[in-house]
Amino acid sequence: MTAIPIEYPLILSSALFSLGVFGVITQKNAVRILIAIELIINAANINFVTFASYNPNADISGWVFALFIIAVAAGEAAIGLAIFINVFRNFGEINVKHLFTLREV
Amino acid sequence: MESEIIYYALGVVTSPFIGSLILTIFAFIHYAKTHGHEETEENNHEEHEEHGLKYTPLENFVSTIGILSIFASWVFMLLLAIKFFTTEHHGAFLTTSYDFFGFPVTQNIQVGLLVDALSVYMGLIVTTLALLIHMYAREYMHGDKGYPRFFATFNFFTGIMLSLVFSSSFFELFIFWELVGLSSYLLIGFWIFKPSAAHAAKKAFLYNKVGDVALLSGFLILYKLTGTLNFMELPDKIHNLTPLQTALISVLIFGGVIGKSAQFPLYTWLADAMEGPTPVSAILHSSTMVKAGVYMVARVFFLYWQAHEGEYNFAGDNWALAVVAWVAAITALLAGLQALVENEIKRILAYSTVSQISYMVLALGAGSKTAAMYHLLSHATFKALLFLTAGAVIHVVHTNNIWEMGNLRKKIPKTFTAMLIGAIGLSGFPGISGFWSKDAVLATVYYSDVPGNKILFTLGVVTAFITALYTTRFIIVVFFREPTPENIERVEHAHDGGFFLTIPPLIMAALVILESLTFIPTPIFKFEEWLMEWLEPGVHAHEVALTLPILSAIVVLLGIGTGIYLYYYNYNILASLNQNKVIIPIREFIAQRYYIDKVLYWIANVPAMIVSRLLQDIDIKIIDRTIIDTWIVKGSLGLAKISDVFDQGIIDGIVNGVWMIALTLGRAFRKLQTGIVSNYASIFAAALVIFLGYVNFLIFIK
Amino acid sequence: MAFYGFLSILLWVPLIASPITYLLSKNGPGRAKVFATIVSALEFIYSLVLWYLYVARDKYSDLIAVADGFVFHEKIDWIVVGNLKIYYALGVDGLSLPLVVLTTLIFLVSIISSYYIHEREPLYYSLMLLLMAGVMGTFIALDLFLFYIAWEIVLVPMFFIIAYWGGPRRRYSAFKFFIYTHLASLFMLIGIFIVFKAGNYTFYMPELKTNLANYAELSKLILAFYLMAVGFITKFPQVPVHTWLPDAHVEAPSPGSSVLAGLLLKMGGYGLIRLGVWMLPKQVFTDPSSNVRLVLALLGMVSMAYTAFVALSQKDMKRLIAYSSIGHMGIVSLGIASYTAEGINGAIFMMIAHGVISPTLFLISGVIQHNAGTRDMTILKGLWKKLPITSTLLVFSALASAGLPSLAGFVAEFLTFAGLFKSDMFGYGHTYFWITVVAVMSVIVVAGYYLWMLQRIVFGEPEHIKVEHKPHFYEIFPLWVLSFFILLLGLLPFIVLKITDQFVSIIIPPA
Repeated sequence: MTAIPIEYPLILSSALFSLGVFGVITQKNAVRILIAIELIINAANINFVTFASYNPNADISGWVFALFIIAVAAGEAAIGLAIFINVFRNFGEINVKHLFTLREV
Repeated sequence: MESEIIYYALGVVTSPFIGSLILTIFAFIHYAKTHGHEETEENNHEEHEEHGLKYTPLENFVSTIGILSIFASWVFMLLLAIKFFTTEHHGAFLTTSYDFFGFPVTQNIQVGLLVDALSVYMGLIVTTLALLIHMYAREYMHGDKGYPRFFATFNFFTGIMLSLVFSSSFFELFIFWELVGLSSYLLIGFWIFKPSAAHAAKKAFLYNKVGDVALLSGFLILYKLTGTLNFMELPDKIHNLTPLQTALISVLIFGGVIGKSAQFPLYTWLADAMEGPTPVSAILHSSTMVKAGVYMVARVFFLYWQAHEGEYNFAGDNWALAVVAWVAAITALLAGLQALVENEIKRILAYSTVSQISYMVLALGAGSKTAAMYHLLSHATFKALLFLTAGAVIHVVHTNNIWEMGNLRKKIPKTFTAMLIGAIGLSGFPGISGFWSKDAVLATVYYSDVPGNKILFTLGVVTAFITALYTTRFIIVVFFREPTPENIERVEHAHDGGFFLTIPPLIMAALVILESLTFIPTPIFKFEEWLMEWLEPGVHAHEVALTLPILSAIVVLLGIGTGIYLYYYNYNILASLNQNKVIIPIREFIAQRYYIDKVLYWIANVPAMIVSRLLQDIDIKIIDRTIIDTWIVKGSLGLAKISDVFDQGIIDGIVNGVWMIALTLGRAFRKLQTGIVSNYASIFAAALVIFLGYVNFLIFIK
Repeated sequence: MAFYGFLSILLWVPLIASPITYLLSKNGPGRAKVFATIVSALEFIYSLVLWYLYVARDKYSDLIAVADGFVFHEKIDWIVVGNLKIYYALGVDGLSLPLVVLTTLIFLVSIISSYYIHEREPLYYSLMLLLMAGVMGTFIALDLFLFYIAWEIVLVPMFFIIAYWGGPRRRYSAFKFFIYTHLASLFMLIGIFIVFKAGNYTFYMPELKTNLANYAELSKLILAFYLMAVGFITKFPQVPVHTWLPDAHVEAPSPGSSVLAGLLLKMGGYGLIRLGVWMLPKQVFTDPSSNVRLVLALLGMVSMAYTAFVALSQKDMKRLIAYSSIGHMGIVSLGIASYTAEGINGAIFMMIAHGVISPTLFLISGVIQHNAGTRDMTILKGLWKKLPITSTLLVFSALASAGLPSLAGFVAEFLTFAGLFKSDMFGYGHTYFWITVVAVMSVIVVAGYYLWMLQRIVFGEPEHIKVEHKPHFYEIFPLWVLSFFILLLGLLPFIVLKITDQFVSIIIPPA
């Protein structure tokens, strides 16, 4: 089996990460930002998995991290959504450009 | 022997004080009870006439205490006098003096009682007159609401006056000297609600105070130079003084006499002092208190004359006596003239008193203690008598102005008799007491070696003429002339006063006659020589030429004749004289007291008030507003501002600078906190990029 | 076995009683005055006992401690910093004993005559007792540090008494009083430090006196005297630093004025004599190069003449009395300047005499104000008819103040003038004579304004004043007590002069 060069998954993860960052910065809808964050998390996951499989010492800690991240990301998504629902209830919208009540006046 | 005399002297001095103390306590209790509301009106004559002479229990008690204490004093005085004059010892007796201040340096400032011929002589006069006048006051003050207060003060005065007489040192004399001034103040202002009385009282006290300050300075200089103030020690110690020092001290001491004995230019207070009740005028302002000056000069006569081999002589250039004599002669004439134009009977007598005291002072200035004390005795008696009778006259006709009286001799025969005897004494009618004593004074002046003694003698003779003239004037106007129509009714109802209003004057009249008889020089007994033997042992009277008494008698008779002619027989001449254009301004000038009061007002009162206002302004405007409020307060505020600027600009500036920077930075960074998630994310991303770039850069460098 | 606590009792009883008075009467306001009266009466009786013990100190020599020329001597270490020792030292001698008795007497009568005060009563009496402790401390302290503390403590209660219970312009007056005297005492503090340095670093007065006698630089001591004198003369006060006094007196409640005039002024005189005449070497006053006496004499003369004239144009009775106080303190200056036994005794006696006369006058002005409603002399007229006894006492005390013989003021005036005439003021012969002459002449003006005051107040028919009721007992009683002392001191001055001369004869030994 010809090994896939390590650059490929890394490029993929970089692209995903960049996409995610782009989404977080540009998007106004909170749900989209949440999705973009998921992209960043997944990019990180890919990196973990990639480096784990290319590790000559067959260490599994990378895999374990990936699994943990998936679990945490699920919880995070749940909490994030719950926050957004509450935000929507209070403000009537979830456009982050308008949600600046924490700002110093 | 000696101790008896001292005990008598103590009795003389203390008994009036005991009376006064009882009465003072009584008066205080009385006022505390009545709260002063009782004392509302002047003595109420009408009431007294309607109800007859009924003393209230209060009045009985008060006057009894008052008279008894003086009577005790008088008895002691008589015993003392008898004891003293029957001893062969002509010297002085002194009580154990006690050291007033109680520390060693001032041990020579002592108080005690000095009994010698002079003080016994004076004490006899004071106690006798005081006793008679106290009795008189019992009725005179009847109905007055201030009865207890009057007698308390009156007794107090008598005690003070006697203490003054028996003083043994200048210090003690000064204490009582000022205290008689106080009693004078209290008694002149006795009718407290009368503004004129208040004014007169103040004037009397102040004029006296001027003299007192001179006196104080005089004897303090004496104290500095000799180290003692005791009369017994001084004669031995003054030999070391230079003539100038003696003269200065003498003149300063004479300043006290000018105030107290009413000499030019401070004599006008005595006329105003007549605001007081008549008994007060009779004893304080004619017979005793105003004579304190004469008494004091007689007491320290050794200062004016330095003793020299047992005989009195002028001590080189000691000009003090000339000052004394000249002031006295001028005062005698001025006051005599004033008595001539005055219309109020008590004031006539007051000016007459000034004029007669000047005779005594003149005698002292001419160098004879004896003549002065001689005239003092005769004058004290007849002037007290005149005042008492004048008071009785005023009491019955309710006016002070002689022109509102008239033809009173039939209405009040007893008073008239008494007053006539007094007036004859005053006028110097040949053979009566005043004649002899006045003659002694004039003779002394004539034979003295005071500069200008002939002029002084002439002034004295002129004054004698004037005295006779004004005496005749008021006797005729009050008793002989028909009253003017509007005053007839007033005079109609006049009648003699009660027992105490008539008997004391009559006793005094008897005393005047007794004195007149005593004074007549006979080969067996010559009063003047007897007096001189006691007062000035070793001195012999100058042989008097017979022309002098004859001249004096002629002048007096001339004065009386002129008076009778002008005021009784030919009233028209007087009327035309009063219309004369030359006379009117002169008369006015005299009536205005030669403008002495005005001049004194302008040279003392006005500048004092101007200076007062000025200094008040300095106090408020310059010291308070300018220096304190402007310079110091504003100055400190200015200083405060400068330090404030330093504080805030530099010290605070540094602190504030730090704070400002923090603030500015904070403001700047605060802008980053937009609250918009995307912005944070962008920054985060940018930071990440930069960080990673930096890391890569480091790796790349390696 | 000597007892070391005679004076501590005198000092600490009012100090401790002060807060107790306040706390006691939180619930029952009437209690404060009763308690304060009891304390001050006990103090007065106790001070009389001390007087007796002082006179009879030879008899009780095993009981009474005498050291360094002071009786009832107490001395313990208080603050020790390295070599510097500050003592808690108390003692009285012929100068301070009469003043101590005067203090207790004046506080007793002032406290009794304050019964009319109903506003913030506990605080008032508490402050009065504190004031008493301060004044007492000034007179009996033997350590300069303690002296200065007591001196400054006095300002505080007096400030509040004026500022709380005073008249319409009380704030202004209170501040003026405080600033004047406080500022002046800073000069005094500098002077004290110079003396402290010159006297070999000690604050204990008898020791300082011994050390200063050996000090060579006279000019430095003269400078120190002038600096200290600024403090004392402002407290006195003398022209030209006197303007706080009329204001403070006018605005203070009359018991406050009586304490102010009766005692606070005396602190200045006491300081001048204790720290100046007594403590500094004789040369400061007698050396030809020193013009200390001339300056004092000029101050005294100007104060006498100046205030006599200013008093003439016053309308407010209290202001007039205040100005007369300045004049009387001028006599103290003159007495010190004469530097004779008569003069200094006269000066000390003047403090005592004025200490009983001026409170009488101020309390009378208070009685008049409370009963007739005003102190304005142009309105008051015919008071005799309304208040005969008060008027009599007014005449009595006014004449006492004017120097009537047989009353206290005269003795002091006479002794001072005798001292002045007797004094040899080398180098200033003529100047000195004229100073004396002006001072003596000003007595006429003094008599003038007092007589005019009496003429305006006592005499005449009452027109504008209404008096509803008799003055209260507590208003009149203190006046009788003080009048008794005025007469007693005037007739038997030796009871005080025998004591003061024990002090004066140390300074000027009799020849």
